[in-house]
Amino acid sequence: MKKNHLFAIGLCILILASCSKNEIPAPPQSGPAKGLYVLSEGSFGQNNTRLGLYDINNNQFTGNYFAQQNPAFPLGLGDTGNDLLLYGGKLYIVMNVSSYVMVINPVTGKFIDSISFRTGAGLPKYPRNAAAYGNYIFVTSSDGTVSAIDTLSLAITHSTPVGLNADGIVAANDKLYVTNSGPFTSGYDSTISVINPYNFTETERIVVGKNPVGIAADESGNIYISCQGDYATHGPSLVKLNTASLSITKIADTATSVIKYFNGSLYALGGFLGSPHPRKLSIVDFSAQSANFITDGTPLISPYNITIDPQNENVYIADAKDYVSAGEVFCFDKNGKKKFSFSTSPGVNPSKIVFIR
Amino acid sequence: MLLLLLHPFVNIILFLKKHFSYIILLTFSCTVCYSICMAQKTDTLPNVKLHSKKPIHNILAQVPVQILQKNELEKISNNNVADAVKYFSGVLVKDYGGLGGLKTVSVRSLGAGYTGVLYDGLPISDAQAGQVDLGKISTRQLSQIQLYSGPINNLLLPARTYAYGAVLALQSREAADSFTKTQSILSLQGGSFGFINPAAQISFKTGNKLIHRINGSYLYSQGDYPFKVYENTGAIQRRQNDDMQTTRLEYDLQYAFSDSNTLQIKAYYYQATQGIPGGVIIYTNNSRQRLYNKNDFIQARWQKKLNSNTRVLLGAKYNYDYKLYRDPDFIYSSDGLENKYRQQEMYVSAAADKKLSSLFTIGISSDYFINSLQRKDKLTTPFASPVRYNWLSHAAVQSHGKKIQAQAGILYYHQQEKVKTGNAARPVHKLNPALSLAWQPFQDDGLSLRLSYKSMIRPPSFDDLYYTLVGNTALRPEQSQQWNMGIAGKKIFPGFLQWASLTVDMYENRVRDKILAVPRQNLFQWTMLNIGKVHAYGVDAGLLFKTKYIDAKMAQLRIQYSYQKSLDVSDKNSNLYKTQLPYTPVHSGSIMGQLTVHQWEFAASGLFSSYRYRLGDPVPDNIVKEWATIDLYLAYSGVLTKNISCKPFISLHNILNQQYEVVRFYPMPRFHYRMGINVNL
Repeated sequence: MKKNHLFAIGLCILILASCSKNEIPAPPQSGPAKGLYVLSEGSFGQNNTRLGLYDINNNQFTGNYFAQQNPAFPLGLGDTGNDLLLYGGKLYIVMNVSSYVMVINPVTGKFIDSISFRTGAGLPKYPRNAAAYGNYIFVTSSDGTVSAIDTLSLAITHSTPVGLNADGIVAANDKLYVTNSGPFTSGYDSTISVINPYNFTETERIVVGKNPVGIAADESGNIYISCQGDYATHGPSLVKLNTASLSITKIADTATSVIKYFNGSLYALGGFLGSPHPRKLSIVDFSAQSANFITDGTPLISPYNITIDPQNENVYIADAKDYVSAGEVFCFDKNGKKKFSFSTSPGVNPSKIVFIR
Repeated sequence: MLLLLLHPFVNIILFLKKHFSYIILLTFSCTVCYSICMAQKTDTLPNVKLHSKKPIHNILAQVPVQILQKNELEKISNNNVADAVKYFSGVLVKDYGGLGGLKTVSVRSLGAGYTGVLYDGLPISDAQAGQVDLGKISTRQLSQIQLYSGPINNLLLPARTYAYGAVLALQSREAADSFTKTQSILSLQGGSFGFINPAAQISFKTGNKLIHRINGSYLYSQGDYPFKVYENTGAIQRRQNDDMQTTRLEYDLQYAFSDSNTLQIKAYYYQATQGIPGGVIIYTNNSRQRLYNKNDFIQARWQKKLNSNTRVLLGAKYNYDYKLYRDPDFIYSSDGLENKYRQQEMYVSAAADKKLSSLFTIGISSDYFINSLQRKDKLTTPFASPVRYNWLSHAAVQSHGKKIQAQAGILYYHQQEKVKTGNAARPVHKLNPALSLAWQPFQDDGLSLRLSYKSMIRPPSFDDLYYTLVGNTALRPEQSQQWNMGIAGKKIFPGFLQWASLTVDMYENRVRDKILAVPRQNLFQWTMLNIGKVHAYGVDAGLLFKTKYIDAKMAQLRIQYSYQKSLDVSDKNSNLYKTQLPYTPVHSGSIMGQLTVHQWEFAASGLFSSYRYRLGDPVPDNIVKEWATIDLYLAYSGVLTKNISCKPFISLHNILNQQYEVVRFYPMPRFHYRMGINVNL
């Protein structure tokens, strides 16, 4: 559903490395992945978000790595972790229901800081997803704001109002793009917000399609938006938008939830009543380059998120299975053949993955 | 052997299925006509006492029956039925803590929707949730609670009663058998966490035959009990938004045409305003959801004994339920969420039983009722506003030999729905047989072996079918079968120890097409599906010792134990195949001792539960710890004047000050107390 912005972020780092004045020195993000951080969302209300660490060389998974490395937090991260972002040598964990962002050292897994997400009245903002740009982490929240966290002070310095239930966020073409999914009580929103990351203001709001959620960017200034529809009269759609002209260049009525851009293709999971298989779609006309990315018959029960390692083109699919018991992460090669898999026990509903190199 | 027994039923089922609509109409109208005609006949025989006010605790019956009497209820409970039934074996109360928290009761892993509740002889139900919240029914006005597991061996009950896996029969407190003038009971209770609960009951007669009873109570509880926070700080926090305020008023009228011909009318008013505290979410603390609930009903029940062989029962009821739910922090709406649900039920019931010979009795009963649900809120999605028409008919034959008693019954279940918008649920028509057998092998009747079988359905609730975005109108009813095999023995002694009894029952339940909520595409969108299968088996055991009342001294000890395996057998390929269902302890039980010495009454009671898993995976991460609580009770019965007696009491709850959870992240109250006084005028 939400995208992992790794690739876009990687791009941002590359782009910004030349233009940003005071960037933080980051450990190298190149070379083969040594390990994977896997964020398992847990079950709503169970306070069982788990950050696990998978050691690729030794094929070993530590399911509750965060709690193991941080005895001061015996119960772990809290409730419903929605996003995981590695940037500038820090790992940011966006905790939706517990309403804060945890910052840890990606090398040791140790606590650095936690950033509370509260409204002026002290109510939870319910942060959803994060994207990095310059010296800031931009985090969408269900209360309809995008908060900017200064990566040095780890404080929220700006809050930009966007649409209610702001969900996905991606950086592209020197701007941030936010999907406003909107409250279902009033029939959902249909827009995305464009944010200027230099003055923290919303510059545009563009109608894209009912209930926009997933968002991804390519390297040529296009963004892709997965609209869920209202599950009744308005069907789902997939939208391509040119960020230079801010015009929609393609709309298809295919159902998607999570979309990831990599190397000229979109990797998509089926949305509400969509395809049960992970698909590879053409970015030109959204036709299926492969209707089922998995070619060796590996059975997936509930594909929940998809992450591509740009270094070796491995595709990781997190399977939430029955959503109440331990999930499983599958690693496929670029041709859709399984390389390995591991159980995320005790993690339930594994979703976001970050590579440690 | 069971299959052989069931064979005749299969043919009947096939025939009935073919002609089902005629048969419902026929059986229903026949039952009603028969009952009405018979009821109008003048009494031809001398009056016979209709039902003894003193219930007979027949532990040797064909199916397990457990009872809590008034004197036990006042000693154990925190005021509501859900707390009281924790003392029965095989019963699992999912308790979300505090007075305002939801409390659902499931018996032998069948799910709360299989537990039927009778209040003074007629069913109370909630078609929206499919289960009754027993936390909101006070025990203050009850004289007893009975729990039947399996087919009930009483043929003069509303047809609906035979549809449930277990039935909780609640009996409200009646006035003394033969009182001549006005009787009043006044009581006042108070206790920890801002609890106050005044209640009053007045009973009086007009003329010779008309008895009135008015009973009311008010309850306020701040509910802000302290608990140790889950974060590592060790700090103590108070539970938030757990306050509750209820007003209950009941009026009962009993008109005795004769001893064997009684009309009972009951009017019930209940109103509650409460917080919904929610589970503790670590690192954040926000709970502002509120519920306003109003529940009114009026019911009439007419039971008449026509002659020494035949009895009839007619019942009617109108139930109105209104719920207003507010969540100011609902994130999918700009200004919070507000739901208003209005639920109504119109209900008529007729039943008759007839003794054919000294060996056989037959009974028939039929229920017709209409449930409707309306919603009003700001949601743009239209609501189905379902109306459900139900016909239930039951026929059974009983043989009561000296050493062998048996019963065979069949229930016809029909349901049809109409909706304003969208699809209506599938119609339901099902036949469910039930059998039971008891054998007393010895002369002195002190030992009984029993066996029973029952097949059941649990139709989807309105929430299962029509809940916005979640409901699924394609659902089928859940189908379940239960078997019970048990041994019951009692011994009556001549000395101070008067009574000892032991019951041990083994059971097996299988549930198919269990309705479960499943996330559709992410955790914020769920749907209901018929995907579950459960295989449960276990042992319920009960031990009771009672002494005579000699020299103003009396003692009683009751021990209940349950062993329960409840396995998820939905999917052979799942990790969860054959794992214990969440929140089902393998071992649980209760103990209660009471002592009366002259004017003093003392009781000690305890509950325990072994550890459980909160989610399917049996891993340490999911363990909810074992717990045990101990409560104490002390009361003194005093006489103020010739006509006024009073009984002050104090009860101490969770005296070991344990912080425990029944449901993970819903901390239960630690030590608390209640004290109060009852005055009889």
